[in-house]
Amino acid sequence: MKEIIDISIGNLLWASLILFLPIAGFIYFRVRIIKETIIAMIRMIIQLSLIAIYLEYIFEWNNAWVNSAWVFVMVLVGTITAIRRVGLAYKHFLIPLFLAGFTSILIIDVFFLGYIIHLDYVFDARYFIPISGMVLGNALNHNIVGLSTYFNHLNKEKELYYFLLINNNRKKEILQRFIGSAIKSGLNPMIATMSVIGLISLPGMMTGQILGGSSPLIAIKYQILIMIAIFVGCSLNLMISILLSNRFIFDAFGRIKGDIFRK
Amino acid sequence: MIKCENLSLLFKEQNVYDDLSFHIELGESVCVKAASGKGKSSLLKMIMGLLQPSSGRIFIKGLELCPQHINTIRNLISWLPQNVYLPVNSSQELIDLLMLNADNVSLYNNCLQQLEITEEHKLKDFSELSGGEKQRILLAACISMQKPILLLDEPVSALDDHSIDLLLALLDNLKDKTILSTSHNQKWISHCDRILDL
Repeated sequence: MKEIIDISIGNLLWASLILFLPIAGFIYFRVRIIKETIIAMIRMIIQLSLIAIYLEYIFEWNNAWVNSAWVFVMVLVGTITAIRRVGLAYKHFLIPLFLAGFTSILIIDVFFLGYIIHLDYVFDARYFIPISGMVLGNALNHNIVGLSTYFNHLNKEKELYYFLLINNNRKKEILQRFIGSAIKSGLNPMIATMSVIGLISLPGMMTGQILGGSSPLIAIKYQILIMIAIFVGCSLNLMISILLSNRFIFDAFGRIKGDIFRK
Repeated sequence: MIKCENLSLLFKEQNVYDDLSFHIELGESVCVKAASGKGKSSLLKMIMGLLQPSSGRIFIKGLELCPQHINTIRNLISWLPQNVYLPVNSSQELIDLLMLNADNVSLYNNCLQQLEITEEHKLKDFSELSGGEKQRILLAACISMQKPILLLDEPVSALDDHSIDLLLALLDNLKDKTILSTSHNQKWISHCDRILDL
């Protein structure tokens, strides 16, 4: 295998100049996401740089408590980001969304790391942190789309919800209409991505492994595993998020609370 | 059948009504009358637990309206909302969402026939139907659920005289229904047993 080519800081800075292309498009179409894009880019650079430093220590310590605390923080940050992006009220959604993220990552890690890969030490930082991170990162995007569809749909079609609630009085069944469309819109992009993976997209993890010197066969096996983990993790996260949120957004009469969105 | 005791409703720190008490017997048809914005729809919403009164108590068939009894109470109530522009694709989708059983569907089709809603209407996109057609479809759906209490919010607001006559004839055939409605329509009001003036 050839040595991996390092990228200089100067080249990274040059690479970021290409961001002017989408920003020019945003200006042309008067889309007000320039500030958010720049902030997200700066955050991404700072966060990844810090992670490089943190991971050095975390990999060296490889302590179950430290690694779990790291994943705990990832779940918490993902929860807060999803709530903020969808515009929901923290008081109703912090607990259910955190629990959903935590439960889904627990299932994924126990199943994939403990049962499928058969790690002797499931908290091994080299597996536990990147796999949890990939699942949580993807789940964040799909949760934002799914939750946004669900709560906006429910809020917009309040009249229909109440009409059905009074007349057929089966809240669980009524909500299935809204939950179904939210799950579809949240997971459809991932299903589309999975169906063309390898044809029009080469996934980041696999590319990273190959660049890092792994054989393509091992890289692909890991990629298949991580795609299944991501899909299951995202689906569970979204479904549990909706189910748990439902316990907080309706009052004892089945009415949608008036303060589910942040003002 | 419906008993309200000392109901008060505050909206934007103003009293919509204060200390309202009334009793509606089984099989009675009562029309709530008041100027626009004086809380007619709100009264219906309070009775079905969609709006919390500022004070007072509501009893349906002897059960106090509270979280413990809400499911039992809602099983007794059908509601026609004032806004009939529901976001569904077709009347069939609406019926599917209401999960009517075979008996209810048969009654629904009979009601539609009596209200002169044709098969062609049923196949049409819901958004293409007129307000009156939507109102008649929703009325048929409400009646077909065979619940003992009908809460009808402006049931004839989009209907012409002929359609009102059809609806009144249909309701006359229903036995032991307790109907609480809101309306400004004279024909409808005069057909009710009693007027509840807010």
